[in-house]
Amino acid sequence: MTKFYCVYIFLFIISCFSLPAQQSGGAVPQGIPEEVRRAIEQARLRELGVSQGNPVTSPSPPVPVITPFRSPGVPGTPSTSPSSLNETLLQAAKDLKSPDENLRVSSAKLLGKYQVSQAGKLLLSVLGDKSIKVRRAAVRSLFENMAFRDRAGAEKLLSMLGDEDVEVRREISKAIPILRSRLSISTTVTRIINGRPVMTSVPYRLSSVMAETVTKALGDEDGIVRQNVLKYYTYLNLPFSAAMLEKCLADPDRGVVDTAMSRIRIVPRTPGIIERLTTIAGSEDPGLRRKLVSSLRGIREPEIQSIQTKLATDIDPYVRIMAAVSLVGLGQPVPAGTIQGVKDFLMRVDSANTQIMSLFYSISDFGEPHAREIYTLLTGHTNSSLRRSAWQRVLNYDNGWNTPSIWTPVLEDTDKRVRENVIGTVQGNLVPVPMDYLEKLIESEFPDVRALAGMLLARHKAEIVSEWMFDLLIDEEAQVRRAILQTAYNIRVDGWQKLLQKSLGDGDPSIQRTAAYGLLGNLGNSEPILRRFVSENPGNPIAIEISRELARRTIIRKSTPRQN
Amino acid sequence: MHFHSKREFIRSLQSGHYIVLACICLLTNILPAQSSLLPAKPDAIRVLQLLKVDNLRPRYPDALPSILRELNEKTTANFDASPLVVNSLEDETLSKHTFLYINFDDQPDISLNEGEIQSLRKFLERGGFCYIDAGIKAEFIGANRGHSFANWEVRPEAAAIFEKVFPGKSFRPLSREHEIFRCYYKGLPNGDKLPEAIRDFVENEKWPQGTYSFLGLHLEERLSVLVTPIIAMGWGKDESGNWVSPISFRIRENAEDARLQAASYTGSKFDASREDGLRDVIYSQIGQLPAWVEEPNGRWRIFRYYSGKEISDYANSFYTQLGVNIFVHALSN
Repeated sequence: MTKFYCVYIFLFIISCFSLPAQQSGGAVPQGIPEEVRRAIEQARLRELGVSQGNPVTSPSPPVPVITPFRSPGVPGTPSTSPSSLNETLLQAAKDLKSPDENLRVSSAKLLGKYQVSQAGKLLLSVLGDKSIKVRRAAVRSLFENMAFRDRAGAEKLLSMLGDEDVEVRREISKAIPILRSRLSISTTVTRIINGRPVMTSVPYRLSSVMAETVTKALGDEDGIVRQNVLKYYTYLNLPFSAAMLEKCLADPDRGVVDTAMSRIRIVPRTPGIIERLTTIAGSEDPGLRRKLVSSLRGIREPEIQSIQTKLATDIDPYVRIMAAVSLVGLGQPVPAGTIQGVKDFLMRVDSANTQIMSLFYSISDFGEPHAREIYTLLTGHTNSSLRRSAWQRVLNYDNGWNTPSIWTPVLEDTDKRVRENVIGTVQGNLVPVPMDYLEKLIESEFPDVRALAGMLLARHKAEIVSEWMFDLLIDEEAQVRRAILQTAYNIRVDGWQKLLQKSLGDGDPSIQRTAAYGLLGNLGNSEPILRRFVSENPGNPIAIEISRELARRTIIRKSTPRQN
Repeated sequence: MHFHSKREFIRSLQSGHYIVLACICLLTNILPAQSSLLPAKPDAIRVLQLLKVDNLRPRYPDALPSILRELNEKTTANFDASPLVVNSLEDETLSKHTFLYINFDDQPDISLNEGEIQSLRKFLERGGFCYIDAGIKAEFIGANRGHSFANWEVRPEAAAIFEKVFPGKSFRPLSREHEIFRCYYKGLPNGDKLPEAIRDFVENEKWPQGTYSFLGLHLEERLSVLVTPIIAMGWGKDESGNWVSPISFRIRENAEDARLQAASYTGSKFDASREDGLRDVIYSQIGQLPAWVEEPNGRWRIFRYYSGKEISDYANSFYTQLGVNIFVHALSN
């Protein structure tokens, strides 16, 4: 019987140890259905805060798992790749050698998805493939994965500007800036100076054969290739001549002519070029004329000025005005009626698009008296963006930001964004604003202006603030009350502490917080007020915040050694 | 000028009022640029644009003014090229206008308060038209990319708003035969300059007959809210008349199915909704544009990305055509 009891007690103790082990982390009983077992396992892992892995407890064989990356803002479902990168690349390398064109094309496309150097090498190896489709796919893929990192690869690609296929040539010409960055890698030379090796960098020069290929591409049969090569020609440190520009300005493709006009400044303006530019000035295409007037701006040459004079009478108001502005910038007198033309034009438009703003900023070239006159007029424009920009210009004259008679009218603007522009600047002014002006601001219909008045009062003496602050303290807008409250405790007006104590009971939490931090700033005298507020308002979020601050600051104060 | 039916109006826009059109043609020849810079006429239609945040610079600032100028130049419609920006739909100006433009790529986290919901409901019920650009955005594109993709679902943020405005009403796909795709422009721009592979895909799959993935919410059979993938990126022009935004194409190309199925990838998988209601599964690589797609018919295709002036010009022209059609359709309905 004793033996029976011993065995029973032994089994009981064993069961006591094994049961909690099962509950806390042991394997789920195997006798239940598989789905249920998995669900229990998942739930248990969730509860433990363990990331969900394979719920089966038996170790799984290693598989080529690539951990999915989930960048913020791009969710999606993480999943497992069916093969490793090496396996994919090996297969692609085999496929590239296949006699089947489709397989080679397919492989070249797929390799574009891998930004590893092996993929780049494989793609570079098929740039000479006899199939146009393979070459196209390989070129596109190389610019997709950018997996060519050396100069040799870039040179090989650039030489394809001479490829028979126009799509290949377009791809290459478009990518010249990318190729250029690769071509300039490792352009250092080592020289021995005073017996020591010194490494210096030298600009990259294309070989004569490559230079010839690129220059030939300027005359490519395809307009897009010509335009791209022209756009990026100088990137390759190749000399661009006036004769080249003259040819491009006469190109039948509008895009080439448009791009060529951006190159006017980098070559001497030969008679041939002037002739082309004169032709463009008479073109029916207003886009080309606008580009021309922008491109010629600032060039001090009689022939160019005569083109600009012609453009100053253009039917397009934008071209006309930009040409006049440009002529004035070159020191010529303002053509009669120009200023009035600019005023009329700008006052009639009702948008602040790119064209209008380009013109707006060019007005400064008329010189201060005229520009000031136009900008002042524009402060009354119906478009608020133009008004805002005009006020900025006007206030910059004569240090207007510090002259209340100049900036206070802006605060009467009905558009908040126009007012904000001024408020943001003048609130940093240290010079006191005369009370005549402040009085008007205090009476403003706009709360942001009244709040500004509250802030600007801080530049005056405490007696003046006491005299004027009442209206602002009872303002219906919290931002106004907050501003004057800050001013009151910053300059310590009479009874500021009582004012802040009373404001602790304001209905607006932002006022309560302002008052609390005002009092915390003078803890030596205000601690009893704050403690009383905390004890009388248990659970109030501001009281909790004050309590926390009090605890923190009191500890710091006590631990700081006093200095005599 | 009065029109007895919308057909009559559209006819007038297209060919009916020959004299008006002849005058426009004459003017556009004589004063080609002036028309785009002249101030709006006093009775011009003003489009409202909702920008919830003060001082928010739109992602495509030149887009809306450019498309409105385009409408003024190409049709007899008379729009004020300067949209009127409102920060809240409770703004009283909403009751005075009929066109509301919202771009979700400018501000994906638009939330409307109860007053704005009511105001929007009233606006739509009294005949207003709301165009939500970038109201369709496939998840795989991510928040920061301004890609246009023919997903066939309204983005959840926009759907949530209209669930409150008209509870129980849902967005329906517009059929490819819908009048909106041919009320002014028909078909696609001339794609002769496009590479062959791109042209085939665009004409047959991406934008067949000049259509796209549009979803609409109808009130008494009137298209009141239109939701599309981002289109405004193809509207903006600079002062020289050049397109502002370069646009690339994402093309689905054939590749060996077995190779794509077995290929290594490092990113996530995404679902995208098709026109037929089935789902594409899109595979991605870390830090790269989406890689390939498994289509519901079991076919696998690879995404290829093409850029260049000819491609960008074509896409810009098409998006501008769509934009003109959207406004003309709204005006005539």
